[in-house]
Amino acid sequence: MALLTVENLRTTFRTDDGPVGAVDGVSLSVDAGKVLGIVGESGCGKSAMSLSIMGLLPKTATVEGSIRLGERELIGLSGSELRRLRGDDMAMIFQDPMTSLNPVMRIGEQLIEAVRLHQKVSKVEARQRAVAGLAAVGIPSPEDRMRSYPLELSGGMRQRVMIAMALLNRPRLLIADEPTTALDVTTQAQILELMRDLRSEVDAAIVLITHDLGVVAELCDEVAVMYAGRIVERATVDELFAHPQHPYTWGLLASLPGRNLASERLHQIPGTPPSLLRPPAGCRFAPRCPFAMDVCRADPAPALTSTGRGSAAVACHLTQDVRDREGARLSGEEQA
Amino acid sequence: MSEPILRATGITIGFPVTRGIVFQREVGRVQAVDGVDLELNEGETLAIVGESGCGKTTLARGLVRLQGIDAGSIEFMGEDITRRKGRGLTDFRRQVTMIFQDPIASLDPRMRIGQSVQEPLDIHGIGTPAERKRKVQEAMERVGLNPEHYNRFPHEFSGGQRQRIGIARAVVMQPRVIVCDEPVSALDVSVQAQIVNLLEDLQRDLGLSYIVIAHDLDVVRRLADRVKVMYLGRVVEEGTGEEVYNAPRHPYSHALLSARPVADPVRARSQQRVVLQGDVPSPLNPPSGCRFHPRCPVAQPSCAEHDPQLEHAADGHGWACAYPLQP
Repeated sequence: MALLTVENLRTTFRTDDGPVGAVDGVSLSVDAGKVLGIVGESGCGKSAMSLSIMGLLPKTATVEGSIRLGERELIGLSGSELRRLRGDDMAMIFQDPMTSLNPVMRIGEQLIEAVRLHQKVSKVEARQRAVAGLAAVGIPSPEDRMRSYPLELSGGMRQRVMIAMALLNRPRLLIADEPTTALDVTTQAQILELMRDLRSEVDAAIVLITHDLGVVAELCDEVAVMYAGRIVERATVDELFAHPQHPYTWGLLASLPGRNLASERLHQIPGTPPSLLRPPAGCRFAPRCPFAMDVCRADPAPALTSTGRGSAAVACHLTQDVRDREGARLSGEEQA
Repeated sequence: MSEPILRATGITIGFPVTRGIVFQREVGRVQAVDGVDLELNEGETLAIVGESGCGKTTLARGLVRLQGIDAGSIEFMGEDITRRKGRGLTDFRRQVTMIFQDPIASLDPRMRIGQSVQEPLDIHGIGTPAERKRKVQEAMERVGLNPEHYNRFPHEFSGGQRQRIGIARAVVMQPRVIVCDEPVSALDVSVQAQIVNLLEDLQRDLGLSYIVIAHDLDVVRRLADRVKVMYLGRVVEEGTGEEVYNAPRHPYSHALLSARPVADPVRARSQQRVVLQGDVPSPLNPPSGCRFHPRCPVAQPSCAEHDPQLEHAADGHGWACAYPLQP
């Protein structure tokens, strides 16, 4: 049973130049104990979507559609109702821990506060939970670290503290927005390992927002690829890498330097993502798509349609035959 | 073999550690770069990799004389430029330029991009105004910018295009060497590929030599002919890309390489990974003996006492480890 269900989500920002549809009709769901990866480049709407779910958008944004956590509809909840949910039923980890840690408060105080905001427990009990939380994310001598200020810790340690804080109240939904992007590769490996361990323990539904297909392959069960505010392809992680179906996904995979050592030149997706102020008329990827046909430039991309392989679905005008052939060519090239 | 275009010997760069707010006194020095040797051959790409704080950026800044060095010498085309000043230094900087990670931070938001690209020519007083303008248009075209955008401002461009502007600024001087400090790490994957290809094209067409500082090991593998791995201010391993990536001898290089996420779910699940524990120690108080020993998965008791030096095999592959991994 899906813990998080998003249906036809539309998030629009009012700007001086007109409305910007950052998220334009996205539907997805995540089960408890599973990790859904949302992949896309900057400006594709992946962060706007996660902030919509958390109810953390500024007043200039309007959110339409449906976001359900279990049975509960989140759209339309008041500020105080959302505040009660955040940090309790749902929690978020950001790219830069310093944006969510208070620099002039000791770590212990912040953790204790996070427990006591949501649960009626004594200070001693809250403190015990905080220390246990730090220990669970692999922070050495957690008792001592309770007295540290965030700036006294390294980047990896701060990220661990933030994960500990997010998990303190056993959330059912955890959204991680680029949790390892700011970290060194060795620290990234530590945090990925930690998240893999935690995933089986906490039994939460995890939404992992990232631009890094490597991180997706390491951690996710399912993947949704986003482009210009829409999901263009959705599949299990194995299916996505074995049978990629959308030309944008092909472009992303082919441009990874580590996967394409043999190729003479690195594949590049020409151009840049479109402005969401004035998105292209047809399929939004058509102007950059090497396979674009007349219909792609004229008609919007079709809705996500099953590829016939499990839960995989794609939103593309190309026929299934062409997509299978090109997708196979891409996976074949890499094995060669 | 011909003379290297850039040679650095025993580069040591330290920063003072001070105490006191009103009466500052130096209480010690952090050795950010500690005795690094480096040779860059004409037309090749040398990459320097390592975690943040390993001294790679400080070394790069030292090489282009943006940062004073405490000891060691730098030779450019056979001439010692370590202590050059004034005109001599300006001449050197015409031929060795730099590209930075964050193109926004290196572009003046109120300057039209054509002017930004032209600025180095103005500073060095190269050519007549008409020639300068022509050079700017050539450079813009070469990096894939539309010369008609000469009068636009930086905020009108996307991240990838801004990095192209940064590259245009570096190539407009017709340099021999470009030092690229994290040239693509602020960019999206698809745009990264565009910039990587552009750097390769420019190298081929203009015969440039690159020093690339990067933490993205896959990008480095793509670009680099030779690689140096740094840890706490020192080079712990060096060799061709092939040698370092396929047969690392130093346990740190091995751990660094195995930490890369693999964009393949099947391999990711089966991969044996060395996950280093803890963080890079403070360079203020480096560990005794081998600096890597507290985090090293194969450290022996003697590693805490003996500080291994960089030693080279016959093929030039070098490592600083008493118990190197077998290839």
